[in-house]
Amino acid sequence: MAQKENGKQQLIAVAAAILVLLSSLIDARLSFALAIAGLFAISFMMKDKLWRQAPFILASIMIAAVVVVVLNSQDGPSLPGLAIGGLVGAIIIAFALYRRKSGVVLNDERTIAIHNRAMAYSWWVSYLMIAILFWFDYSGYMKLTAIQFGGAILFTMLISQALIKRYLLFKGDPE
Amino acid sequence: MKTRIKELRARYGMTQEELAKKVGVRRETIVFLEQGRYNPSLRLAHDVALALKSKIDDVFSF
Repeated sequence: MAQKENGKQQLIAVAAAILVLLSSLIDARLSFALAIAGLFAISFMMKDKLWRQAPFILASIMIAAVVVVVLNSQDGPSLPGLAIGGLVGAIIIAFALYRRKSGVVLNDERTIAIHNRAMAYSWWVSYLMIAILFWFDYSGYMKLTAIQFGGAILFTMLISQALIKRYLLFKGDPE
Repeated sequence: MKTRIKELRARYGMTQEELAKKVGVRRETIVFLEQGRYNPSLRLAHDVALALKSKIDDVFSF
C-alpha cells in the first residue's frame, strides 16, 4: 500500500518535471510558474521540521525573484499561461497536503536517508550538467541564454533527484 | 544481517502494517528489515525489538 503510494508520488514528480519541460516549449513564463509550484509542493511534502523545508522555500523564493525579473523584462505576462500554471500548482499542493493529513507514515529514517542521498547525487549530476553546458557554450558549439541554462539545470535537478530516489527506494538501503 | 522479525511477528500474529504503525515507519521499511536489506539505526532496532517483546540481540544478528 505504502509502496504503491510512494510509486504514485515518484510518478507524479516525474510527470510534473516532464510537464514543466514541455510547457517551456510553449511559454517560458508558464514553465517557470509550474516549476515554482513544484518546488513549493516538494517543500510541503518534506518533514515537519521547518529547517528541512528552509532550503526549498529559499530556492522557491530565489526562483520567484528570477521570474519577476523575466516577467518585467518582457511585454507583460501571459495571463492564460500563468492561470494554468497556478491551477496546476494549486492541485499539486492540495494533493501534497491531503497526503500529509491522511495519517500514512510518509517518511521514516530510511526514506529520510534516501532522500538526502538522492539530493546529494542529483547535485553532482547537476554539477556535471553545468560543466557540460558551460563548455558547449564556451567552445561556441551551442549558444545558451541565462534562462535556457537555468531551466536546464532546474529540470536536471528535479528529474535526476526523482529517478535516483526511486532507485534507492527500490534498493532498500541507501548505504 | 539476519533478523527474526518475520518469525517473531508471526508468533504474535502481527502484520507488517501493524508492526510498521507500532514503530512509526513505512511498511516497506519493515519489508527490507525482514529481508536483511536495510541496517536500522539503534533506535529503530530497539523499537522493533520492543514491539516484538524481545531483546535486540534476539531479533538482529550479524
